[in-house]
Amino acid sequence: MRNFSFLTLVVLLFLNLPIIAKAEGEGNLKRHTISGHIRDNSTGEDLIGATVYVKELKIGTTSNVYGFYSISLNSGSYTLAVSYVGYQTIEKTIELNDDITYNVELLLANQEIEGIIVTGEALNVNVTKAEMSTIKMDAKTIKEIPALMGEVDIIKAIQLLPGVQTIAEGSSGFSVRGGSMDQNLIQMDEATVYNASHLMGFFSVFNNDAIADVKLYKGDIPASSGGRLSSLLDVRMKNGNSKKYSVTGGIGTISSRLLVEGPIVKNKASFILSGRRTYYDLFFKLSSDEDYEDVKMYFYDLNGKVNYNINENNRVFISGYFGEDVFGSPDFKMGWANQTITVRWNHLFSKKLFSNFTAVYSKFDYELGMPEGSVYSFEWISNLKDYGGKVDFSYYLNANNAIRFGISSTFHEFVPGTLKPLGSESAFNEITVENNSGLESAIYVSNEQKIGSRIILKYGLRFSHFVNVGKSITYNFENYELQDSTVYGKGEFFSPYYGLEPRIGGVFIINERSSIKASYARTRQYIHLAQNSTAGTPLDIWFPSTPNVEPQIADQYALGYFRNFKENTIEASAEVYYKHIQNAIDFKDYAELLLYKYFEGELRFGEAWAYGIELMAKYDINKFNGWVSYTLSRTERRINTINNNEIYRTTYDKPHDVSIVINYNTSKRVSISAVWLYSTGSAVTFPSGRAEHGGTNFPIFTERNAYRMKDYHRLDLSLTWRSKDKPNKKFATDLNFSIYNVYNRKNPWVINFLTDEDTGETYAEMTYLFGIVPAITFNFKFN
Amino acid sequence: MKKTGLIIIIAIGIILNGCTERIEIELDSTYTRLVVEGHITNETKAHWVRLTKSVDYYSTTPAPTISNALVTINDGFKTDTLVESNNSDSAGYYLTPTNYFGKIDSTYLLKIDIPEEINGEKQYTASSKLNPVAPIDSIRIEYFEDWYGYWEVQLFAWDPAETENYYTFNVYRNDTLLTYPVNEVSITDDSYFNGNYINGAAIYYFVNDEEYGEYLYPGDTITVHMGGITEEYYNFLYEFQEETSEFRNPLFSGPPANISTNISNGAIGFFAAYSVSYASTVYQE
Repeated sequence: MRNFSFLTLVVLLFLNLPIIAKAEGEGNLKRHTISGHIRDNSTGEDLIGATVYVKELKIGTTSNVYGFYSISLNSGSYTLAVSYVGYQTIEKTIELNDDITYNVELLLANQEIEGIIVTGEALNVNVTKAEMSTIKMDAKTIKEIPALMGEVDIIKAIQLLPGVQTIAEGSSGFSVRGGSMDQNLIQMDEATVYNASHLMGFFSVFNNDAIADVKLYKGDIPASSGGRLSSLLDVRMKNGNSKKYSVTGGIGTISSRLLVEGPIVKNKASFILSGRRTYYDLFFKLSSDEDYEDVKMYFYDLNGKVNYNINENNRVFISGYFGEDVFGSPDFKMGWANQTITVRWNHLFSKKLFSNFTAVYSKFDYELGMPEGSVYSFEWISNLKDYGGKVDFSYYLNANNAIRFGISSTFHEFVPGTLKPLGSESAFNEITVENNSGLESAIYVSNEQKIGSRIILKYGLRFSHFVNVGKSITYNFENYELQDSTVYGKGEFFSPYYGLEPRIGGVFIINERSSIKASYARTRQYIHLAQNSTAGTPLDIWFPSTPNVEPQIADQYALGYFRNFKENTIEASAEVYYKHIQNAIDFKDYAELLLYKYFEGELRFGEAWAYGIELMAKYDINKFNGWVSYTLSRTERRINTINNNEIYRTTYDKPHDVSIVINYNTSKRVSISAVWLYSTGSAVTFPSGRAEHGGTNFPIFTERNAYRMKDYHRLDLSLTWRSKDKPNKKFATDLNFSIYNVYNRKNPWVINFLTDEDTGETYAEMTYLFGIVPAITFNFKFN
Repeated sequence: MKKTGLIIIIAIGIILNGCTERIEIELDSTYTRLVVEGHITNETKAHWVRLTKSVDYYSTTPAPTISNALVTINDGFKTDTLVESNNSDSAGYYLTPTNYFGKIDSTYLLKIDIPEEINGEKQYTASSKLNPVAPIDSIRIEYFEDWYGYWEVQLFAWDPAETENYYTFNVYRNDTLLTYPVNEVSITDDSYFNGNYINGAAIYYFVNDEEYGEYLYPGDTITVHMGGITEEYYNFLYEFQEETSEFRNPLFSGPPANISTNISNGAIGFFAAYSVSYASTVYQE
């Protein structure tokens, strides 16, 4: 399989070389390049994925994640239409005699200005782009979705998309096309976010005010990305308004936030700083009960970014994220924190060759402890550090070929934890689980090629490599029993794993309104999450592939039909996918994972499958916008020693999943949103028999995950009331009311069996988390 | 590690105390299994092995007992046959003579022959080594005023460094066993304090409010039985306590699974051999 696809790609590349060579050296007509950046007119923010369309040739290109575009055409006169969702399209006629830089600043759809031709046509990018299984959301759309306790959350928003399931209510962990929680690569401005959740997963770490763009790849993952099997969630933060200062903020039921942005040098350099903090622990401080006075319970996020346009060809960004959850009392403390620092440099080698250099440092750590002074005093600290660098090139060869290539490498340092006794009275010994390190690298090349007017073919190859780095100890197991150990010295490389990851996709455009797309991608994952609990906790540990753990490998095939209606105001799609995972990982019954040296002996391996159909219709008609989606799917595994080696469903196998999102702008000042979601109940394991022992009864189980909890559904509503919008207004406010779970459906979170002490009868009891939860948020913006 | 897990569970359980509601759930049946419970200790007394059958999950009748089975225990030298109890309350109990005592470091092999087949089998076996246990230096009772007010029963002993030790703690008040049923028993391994002096670790709590636990009266004699158990029995008790705990929290619990056993041929339950050391104290105010 591997050799076949590699061969196919090589053959494809060779077959096209004559065409490429011919196009370059065309006799009389000379080729010139139009390139530049596409930005928002009022803030100067880059517009990601904006379209530049050459009307005469019926070809186009899109801006990359830094707002840069490049297109090479023969000398001549062309009309370019530059467009982006939510903005007014700008058309401009260009006489192309030489390479030119054409920077465009688009106006928001509701703004007005004279002298520039605007057209109001909706776009059919979803039909014509050679990209499937991806969904893009902007901060504005995310903000419209009613949120739990008023906390706007992109992770909750993407769970309303087809193919994305929640793992458990409230949890920030999500499953994409049947993949487990650790198979999603979450990146914020190129830095990997290992734990995207606050407060056990009820909220995410992303402050929506600071987000510019979010794109979820459920499949068809580009060759430039790898390391996780199921998805890429690419979050791009705003750069900061480069034209004027602005302060945005909000006060909500659970937290408050503040964002300050502005130019450092107008139109050249800008900064953005945002923070968010919860304050429910303040209620504890007000309590008269002494025990509660010293309780600390909060989380905060801090995002900072500075960007500087040195000149036309060079741009530098420095960004950082710091966030922490703290829970503490005089007897106990627990906390976890994320820190990332990224430095990036965009460099234009030529109008056709765009490059980005990134250096990243990220750290995720957590601690648990009981203060000094008792027999139980201890402290446990664990962390994961990444030091990474990558280089990405985009070579816009000609109007029909866009080549991307690059190389990346990340050094992962895993510190699973040390438990230290505190003070002389402590009865604890120091327990250390040895550190582990790994170097994960990749090199890739891909091309997106237009063939004729109807076909776009994307093909690429990624080669990834992982090697463990000493100093560390590997424990050797036979039949899961510990045999002995092997010690590796500092800097010693051992246990390399590597492989090819071919990525192929294409679109056949039937007409302006419809197309068929197909894709195949192989991905490899070298680091995994030891998560045994159903919902996942922040204490789950990431661990690398080692001599005992092979990398997971996934092959995903997808086929889709895309059709737009009513002049592109309704975008519909039907996609079918099939995913097969080798070396899938699960844990033995009663696995010991935390602070356990030999935890690799608790792992069990096998295969996993996921397949399904996703139907979606996105609409934007008059005052209504939103989407409706339905997913029919199955996800199951067969793992050695688990469930008698028979296939079993995962807990998040939910055959039916429905989301309905309706946003209604009743007027310029008021908008109402409704979200209704439904999914089959989670798969659970229930007992079939019971036996007596030691004066009580214990349950007997036959099959894992053979039963289901009650179906999950709820309705959320929100209403936003905006202050009057006057031109040149300095101060805007809005008030948002939201109600989560409007009809108070008791959706089970967990089901337990209890015995009535008096009658001896056993009955089932469900625990549900959220009944109806109203919230109110006040938002403001100074310009 | 399992202890740290417990601590976390308590803390988070406090925050996330959701609402509950009783619901109806239909469950399938499953085939009957032989259930064995047996204990051999180094105490001189009649030790017992109990044989019952498993039932459907919602069944409210007591487990059917198995009579007229042939139950023997071999200690490496001799085989003793256990005699079924005549007492109508103790049907299904098979007893050793009252002068029987287990010997440290011997391996005990249990053999069972039942009159009627269960699941196609009539013969079942199990074996367990009888591990030694360190003596208890002393126990102490200390009162704390937090919460409702509670007494801690604290244990002082040395844990041997050379061996991996697993412990159970049973508490008696004036000859009444308080740690009953068996999921009330405190269990621990020595990973956190191997080779150290156990300096007053709390192994039981009395509560100053009868609604929440056992009350302690002045003059009560508190006796602690510390059992030195095998790793397998420790795993069994740990899994047992997980599966019989009233609340499973999706944040920390893995999926439910069958409890391990050391009985052969598809039977469930456990046959455990262990040694016991004691300490007593009389509670004065």
